[in-house]
Amino acid sequence: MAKILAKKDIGKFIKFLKRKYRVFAPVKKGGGVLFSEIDSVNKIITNLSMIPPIKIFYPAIQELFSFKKNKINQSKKLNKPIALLGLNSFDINALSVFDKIMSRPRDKYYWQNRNNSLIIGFGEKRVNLIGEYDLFFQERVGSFQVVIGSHLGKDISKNNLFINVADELKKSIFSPDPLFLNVKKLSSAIVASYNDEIWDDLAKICFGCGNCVYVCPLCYCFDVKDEINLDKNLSVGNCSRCSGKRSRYWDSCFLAHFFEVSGHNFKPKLRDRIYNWYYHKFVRFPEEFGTVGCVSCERCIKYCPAKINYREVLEKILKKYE
Amino acid sequence: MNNYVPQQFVILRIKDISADTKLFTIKPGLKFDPGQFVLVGNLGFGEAPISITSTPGKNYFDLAIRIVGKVTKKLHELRTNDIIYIRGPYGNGFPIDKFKGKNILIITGGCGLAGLRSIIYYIKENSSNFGNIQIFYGTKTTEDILFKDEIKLWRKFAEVLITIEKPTKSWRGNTGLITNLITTTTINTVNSLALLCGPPIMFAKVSEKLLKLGFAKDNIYASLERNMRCGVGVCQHCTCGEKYVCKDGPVFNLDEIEKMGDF
Repeated sequence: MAKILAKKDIGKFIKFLKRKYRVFAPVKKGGGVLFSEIDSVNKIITNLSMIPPIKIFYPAIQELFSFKKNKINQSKKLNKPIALLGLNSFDINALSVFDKIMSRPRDKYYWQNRNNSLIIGFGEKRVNLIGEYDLFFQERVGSFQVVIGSHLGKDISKNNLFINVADELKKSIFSPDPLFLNVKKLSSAIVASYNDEIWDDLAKICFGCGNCVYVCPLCYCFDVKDEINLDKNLSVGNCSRCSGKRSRYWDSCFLAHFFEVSGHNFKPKLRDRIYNWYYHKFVRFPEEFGTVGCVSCERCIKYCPAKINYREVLEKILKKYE
Repeated sequence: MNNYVPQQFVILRIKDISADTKLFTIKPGLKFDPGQFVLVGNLGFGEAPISITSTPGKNYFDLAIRIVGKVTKKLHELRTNDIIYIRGPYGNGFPIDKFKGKNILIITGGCGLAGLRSIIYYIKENSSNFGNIQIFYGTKTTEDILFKDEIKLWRKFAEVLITIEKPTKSWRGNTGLITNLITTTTINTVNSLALLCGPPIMFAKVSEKLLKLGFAKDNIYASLERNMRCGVGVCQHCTCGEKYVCKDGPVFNLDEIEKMGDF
């Protein structure tokens, strides 16, 4: 026994979701694909989005609080919960890891939107799908076979648009990324490669632009900045009369300022910052979260202006330090 | 609890302790261990990580803040009775339990003394728990010496040696770099621990000399400085290999520091 949703009914389904949710799905935008709030089914395309959907919950700029005359006001919770529609396996897997990151310690801003969210995956097959989701729509001729992943998903699928059929549920396919079959070996190889010329050579072609970080579904480093409203009462030292806000911004560990304090930069060389990115994803990440900081989506390859391919880098290191 | 929202404190006293450093006494008190730090700031002007420089258990606490950038410059504009915004305390602090019964050698340069003043007072207040106490302090000029009046009093429970890199003619004491103070005649390596705080170059040179004279790596402790935005091991700015200076540190022994790999 399984449930299906007819393709012709997906518009009605979105309409149904919109009663309770702000619905985000991948759409064409500015020459690329981005998860955006949608009104109709027509716009949805299922190509890999440039910015991963996780970052709907972890936006480029997140206000932490505003202040006025020494009074702090915390940003209010959004009223309508968010539904993400059309996630692929990479992004569902990444979301589960991101949930772990945002739980140490618990990040109020992430969870205020993530908590009541609805996650609906989409794909021809379920390949390497290990992350948690509410529903997964598996494409077949004229309809989607509906895989239920949670209590919330089960409740949603009680809607009349979902029809019971006698089919067997298609099995998910599991063929793990060969690069990450032995994470311990990969970690030790990266540790051993610290002085290797490979990092110097990469620094010669890498622009240090940080794009790979912004498009990565598992990068989350940030900076914090204050803004003051222009105000004729702006006082000099204390802020007892001024107003403004403090926000968290995406940062990138490839940028020159990242490890800088006043008077000293702890990683002035790009080669050390490149190494740090690999070290974070394949050494520190497994140590902290029990998994590599990569879901093999390859966005960082697609959007690297220097055409750097991390898979080739890792293969080279593994070959040399295995 | 929301980690990113600071608490309001009030400035009780401000004292100039050098041309570019002020000592802020802040109330109410804070529960902390020597070696821990806070993120201190002013709404609209950001935050900076600063070691708590007073001893725990009081109804106030001290922060010594030197002007090194925009945030600290703004903090220096604050006046007595102004509100100051603080998050924390953060970090591990010194592993005091391991220090009991040991000779303590404190080696610091410039404003690094502020990072060790808390443990210095802790040792003073619990001096029966420790062996011989020595404080070696190096600065560029005599004007850079912090806590001059207090250092005189520290001589009652500790041997204090000061060296000046660029002394005036009237300076009668030791001259040159702090490494000059570290010799087989001035220090005792048996049953001793060294606590370091200072610029990275000082840390490198001093630990090299201590190792040469026979200190074990796990008997040399340092309080490290890094860029910090969150204080709780998320933002990635303070990472050193597998460690986060903000939550695993800022105090590490040399053995741990070397294992961080990309230090």
